[in-house]
Amino acid sequence: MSAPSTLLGRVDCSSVLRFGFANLQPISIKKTVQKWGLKLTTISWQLRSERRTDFIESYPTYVAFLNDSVMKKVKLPENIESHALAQAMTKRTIEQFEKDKELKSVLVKVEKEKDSAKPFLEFVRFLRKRFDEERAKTVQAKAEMFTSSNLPFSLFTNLVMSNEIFEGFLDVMHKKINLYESVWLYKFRNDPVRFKKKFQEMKDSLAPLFDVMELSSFSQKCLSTLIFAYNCANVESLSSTDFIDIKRIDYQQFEQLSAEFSSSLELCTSTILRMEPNSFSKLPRTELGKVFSQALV
Amino acid sequence: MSASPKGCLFLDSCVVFAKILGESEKIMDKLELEAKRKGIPCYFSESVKVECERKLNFTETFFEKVFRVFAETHFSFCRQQLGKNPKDPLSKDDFQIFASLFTELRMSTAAVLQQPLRTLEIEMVLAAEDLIRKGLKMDFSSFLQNFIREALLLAAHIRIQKVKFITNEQGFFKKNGVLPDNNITTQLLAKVSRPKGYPFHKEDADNISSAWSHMNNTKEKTVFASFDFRTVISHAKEIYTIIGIRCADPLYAVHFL
Repeated sequence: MSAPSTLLGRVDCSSVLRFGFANLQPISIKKTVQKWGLKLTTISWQLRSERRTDFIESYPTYVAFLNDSVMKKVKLPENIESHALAQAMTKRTIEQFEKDKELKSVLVKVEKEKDSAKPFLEFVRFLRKRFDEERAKTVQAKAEMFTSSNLPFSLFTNLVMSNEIFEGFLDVMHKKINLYESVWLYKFRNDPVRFKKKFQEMKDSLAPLFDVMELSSFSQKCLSTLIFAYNCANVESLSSTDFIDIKRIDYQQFEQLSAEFSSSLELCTSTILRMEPNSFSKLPRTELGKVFSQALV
Repeated sequence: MSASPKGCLFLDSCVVFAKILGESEKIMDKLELEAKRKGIPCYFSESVKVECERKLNFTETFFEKVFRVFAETHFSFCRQQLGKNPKDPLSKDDFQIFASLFTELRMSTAAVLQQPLRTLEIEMVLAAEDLIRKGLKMDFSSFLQNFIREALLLAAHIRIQKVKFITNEQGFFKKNGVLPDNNITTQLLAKVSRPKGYPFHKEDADNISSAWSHMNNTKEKTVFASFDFRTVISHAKEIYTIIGIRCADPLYAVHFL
């Protein structure tokens, strides 16, 4: 069985978003052009990271920091050395990131393109499209993992819930940025003071969402690390485990991390719903709906 | 909390779940509209909240039990006993295994979950028959995973809706922190008769008792709304005689104020 995406596989998209978005600052670029014999000054905007190095260069350092933080939180079994595991996880995430040409090219655009928050909006759209393409596969992977383990059903409900939350998160991001972009940022494009103020306002309004999403993503990563670390012989065999046995996991830690993950998901859901009350309104159409309603009502 | 001159409604867990699941839509829409139009506050009590959470966990445990019985050794074991390879595609011989596994499950499932178990059994058997009729080859593991996938999506959706309506209180009903009155709960449990097929549980008594506490504290006319005919509505007259609170189906609830 392959390890879950946030452990060793795909790039953690909410972290990428957070990493990219939180450090963006609008920088005005003044240009003087000659037109009809007149000197005209035009202002355009470029979004740049506050960091000196660019996003793609500094992403590995960020991933390494995240993985080191996971190792500090999770008490691993004796056969797994935390530093080696953190390195292996970082290496694989970076490898995936390097291989992911599509993601990289969108990120390059975010860094290079000028004017407003449009490139970032494009990035959110890209992630949403990718989410839609992979949604069914992700849920299928959880169902497969359920049958190849004796882990509780509630854990998988949490993992699927996390997936649904990410969709809601992207939708809220898109709506907010689109609103600011089409109304305020466009309106104040020639007014540097107000433009910067509105841009900061947009970032501030999304900051609580990033905070809770990051917390949830971190909790999930800690829990996945715990589960897989206790079910493998060594770091090298971490990504291929035939059967995940709950009896092999340090149960006290499992319970604590599961509770943290669960409450972080509630917090994310609650934050998204407060920002956008119509989120998550589509009930999945399935024949099993009747079984649920008979059991609950 | 100030009393509304029109009175208020206390909702049972089944009414809260009806909203979460999108069930009894017509009645729920009517209730919401009437409550808004007439300015009638609708509440759920702490005991209802606890019951909702308990039922949610219970339902997930139920699915876990059913899927585990099939997913783990049982199905393979039964096939081996019939001299078949566990990895072969589903075939008509497997219905005997379905029958025996569901019988086993029924024996160890609480009465309250017998109906959902039966519905799940029908869904699984019909889906398997459909596959075989269409000549589609699917191994049992993939077949089972279809159901697990659907159950996970629904369970996740319900948890999200629980946050919306219970934690965030973003529906037309709000949480009321009133606690049940122990004396009233005891009185109800002692005096409400329970003819065969019409039980009355401690949870029902606590939920009604919470509504009574609110009515007693605020002197506001209060009606307890429930879809549950067997455990609440069938006892409505008796409950009114014992503690003076009306219990009504949400279809009629506002007319009792």
